Amino acid sequence: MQDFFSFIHQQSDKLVQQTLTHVGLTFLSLCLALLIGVPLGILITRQRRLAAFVLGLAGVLQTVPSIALLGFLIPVLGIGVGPALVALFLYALLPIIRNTYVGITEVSPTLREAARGMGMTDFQVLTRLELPLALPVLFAGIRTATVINVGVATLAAYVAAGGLGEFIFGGIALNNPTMILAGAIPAALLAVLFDFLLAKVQQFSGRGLRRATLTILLLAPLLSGFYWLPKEQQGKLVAGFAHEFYGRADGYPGLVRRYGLQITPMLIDQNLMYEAIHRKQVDLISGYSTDGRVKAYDLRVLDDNKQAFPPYQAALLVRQATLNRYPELAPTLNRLANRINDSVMTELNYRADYQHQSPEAVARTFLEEIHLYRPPGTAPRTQSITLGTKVFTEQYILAEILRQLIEGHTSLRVVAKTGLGGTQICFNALRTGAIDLYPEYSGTGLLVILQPPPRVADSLQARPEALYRYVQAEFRRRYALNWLTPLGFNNTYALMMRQREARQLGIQSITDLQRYLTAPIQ
Amino acid sequence: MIVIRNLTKRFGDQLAVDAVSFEVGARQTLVLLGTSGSGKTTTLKMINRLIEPTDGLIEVNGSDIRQRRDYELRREIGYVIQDSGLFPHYTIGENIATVPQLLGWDAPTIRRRTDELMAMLRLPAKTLSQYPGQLSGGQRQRVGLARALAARPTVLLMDEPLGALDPVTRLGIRREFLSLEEWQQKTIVLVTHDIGEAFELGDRIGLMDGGRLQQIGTPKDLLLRPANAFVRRFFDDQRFILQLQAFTLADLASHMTATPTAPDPDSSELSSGTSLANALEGVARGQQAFFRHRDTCIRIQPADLMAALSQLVNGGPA
Repeated sequence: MQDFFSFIHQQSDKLVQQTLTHVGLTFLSLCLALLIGVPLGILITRQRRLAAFVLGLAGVLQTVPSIALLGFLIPVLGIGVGPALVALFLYALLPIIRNTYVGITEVSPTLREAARGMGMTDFQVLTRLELPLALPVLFAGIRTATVINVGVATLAAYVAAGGLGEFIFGGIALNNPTMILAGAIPAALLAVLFDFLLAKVQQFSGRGLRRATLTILLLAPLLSGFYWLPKEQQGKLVAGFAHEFYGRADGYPGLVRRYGLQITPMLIDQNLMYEAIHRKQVDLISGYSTDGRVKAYDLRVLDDNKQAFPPYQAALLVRQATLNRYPELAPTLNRLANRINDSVMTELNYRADYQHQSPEAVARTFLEEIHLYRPPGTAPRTQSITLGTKVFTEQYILAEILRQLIEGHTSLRVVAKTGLGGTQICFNALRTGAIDLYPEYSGTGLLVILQPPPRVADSLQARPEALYRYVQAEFRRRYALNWLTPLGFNNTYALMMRQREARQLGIQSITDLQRYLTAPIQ
Repeated sequence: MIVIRNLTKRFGDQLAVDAVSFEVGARQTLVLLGTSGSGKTTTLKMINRLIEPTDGLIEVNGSDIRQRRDYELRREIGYVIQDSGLFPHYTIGENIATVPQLLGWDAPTIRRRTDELMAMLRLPAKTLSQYPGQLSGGQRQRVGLARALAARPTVLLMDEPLGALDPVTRLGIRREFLSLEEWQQKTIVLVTHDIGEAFELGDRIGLMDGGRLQQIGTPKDLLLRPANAFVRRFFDDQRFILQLQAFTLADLASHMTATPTAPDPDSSELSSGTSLANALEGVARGQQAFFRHRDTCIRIQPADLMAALSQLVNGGPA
């Protein structure tokens, strides 16, 4: 609790900014949904044959999971406010159309006839009778749409559109509950607040209702305007950083410490960063040095000349008990030691991510190339070991390589549990024996699991070998887990730019970048 | 003035209104009477084009209604429907002002007209800013009439205007409406299934069944000279009461004998246009009464009246 309030206090600027953006996104999309949804709802009361089709379509859109919807929209609209707005708009559409339709069709036919009998034109019947009487139902729809949108708007942070999701995603990436709550609680409060206010509005009738409607019609565009309030001036380069990178001590804060770099980035899902830089929506991203898209999109990894990023040497982390039980395992696994360097790993990732080869095919080709491939024997496999991975391509490829290697060289059967959420989950699974091994990175072992005093961490940071030895010794001592010889590549954080631009600006290293950013504009 | 010729309406295969013709003279009230499904409401709604006829001609105030824009036509015709059809989100004042607003009257004129109608229909001033839900059924019906009268139409169409009221309130409001000067000046077509209402309100009654106009005529015509068996049977249940309502002392005069002597000075004189029901009510209290017919005085005694009535309706000697 103490943590929570001190976090809120420290980050109050950001919190206000994110809340404004969040409210802005919610109402901007709501306004769009009203602009489209109300006329559409009216249209289908006049063309009843269309009603089933339109409501059905809006209903289907509603059932598409929000992440999937964003996934569909990103190829079309890129990242940023576009896809977020469209997704929110589509979610708000159904309640608005449906409630407009229901509200109008529920107006008593007697009243409609009375209105026509008085001499109202069709348009007057709509504006003087049907819409006013449909308002309470329409408000119920607006209320539903608003509450849904406050919730879904947290996903805007996934595509660099800001909002309270920045804290939530950042918190999840960093396994920091305080940070998650700092985003989730205000979002929940916003939802409750809007729900409460709109419930009040629903109770009005007669003149009160007309006044309330007018207020909302004026207020909604105003609240939409909040989206543009917190905009800060962009520097010479637009940076897009992953939430985790931005918050983690060895990520952006490390850059600030070592290089004195000051950047206000857009925060964005790490899988979308590459797409964003490729489409020139951002100019600088925080990637991983072995990502296949470095090759695919012709990116330049800036040289970390002051070692701000700790080394993340990949190695297999195996339970000691498993090694003892299957003596043939360690020698088999160690055949991979130092066989995969940075560019090899980047190439493998490239084949999977960009050329869309299956991890299985990539692994097989690779093993054949280094002459380690053996077809699995036909002897019955009675004993098995379980292999875990985190959720990204590189880990899936490594898992396949390991499976094919082990099944080709031993009589063990390999069970793969791929896609375990993150470091903590993999590590806990390994300790409890749910898995026997998984590929891990030395820096992660140090900073996420061991969490040594800063003094120790700092002293190890610039020395990959010493760091690996320290982690290996500590894991053996504390957890009876064994780090095998490193695989040969270092998948660390890296700043990346488009190759062409980096060449033009003469930026090779992070120091160059810092010099460029701080140089006065000519 | 309404002229209807050969009016026909088909809904699919079903013939709802079958070659109906009638006229309603200026300031006359025609009541369309019939059971549900007889086609009376369909006929009414064709007059203000809420329903378009399949065939036939309708003229209102001398012009073919098909030549008019439907909404302009409707603004010139007052329309009252069952359960008043007041707009629940409008105040009473706004409801009454509906048509003047549509016609673009200025605010002070609307205001004056509203106040006038409120006074005429004896609606308390405070109801002006209330909503229809806050009023009694009888008050709502009055507002419904006020709304129809607001723009001073010459023609009123009424569809079961008192249908939603209890019998007692209904009777009161009926009398009240009848006594209004504005009511008396309108050309009215009123639809009802209530025979008593038809007899009380209608100058003429059009009895409908199966989409056809069975007979059209004054209440007396319908009682004395039914066009067919249906018309005769239709009034059987209430025949006697209807006769007492429909016939006046003058109608019976030729079946009664003049009193040779001068009337008793204590007895009161009733007009010869008094309905039998009212005349009987008077003498039932034990009062002496007489009426004048041509140059003679005729004493009113219940037994004589009954005998004369019996002769009248059974076609006895005159």
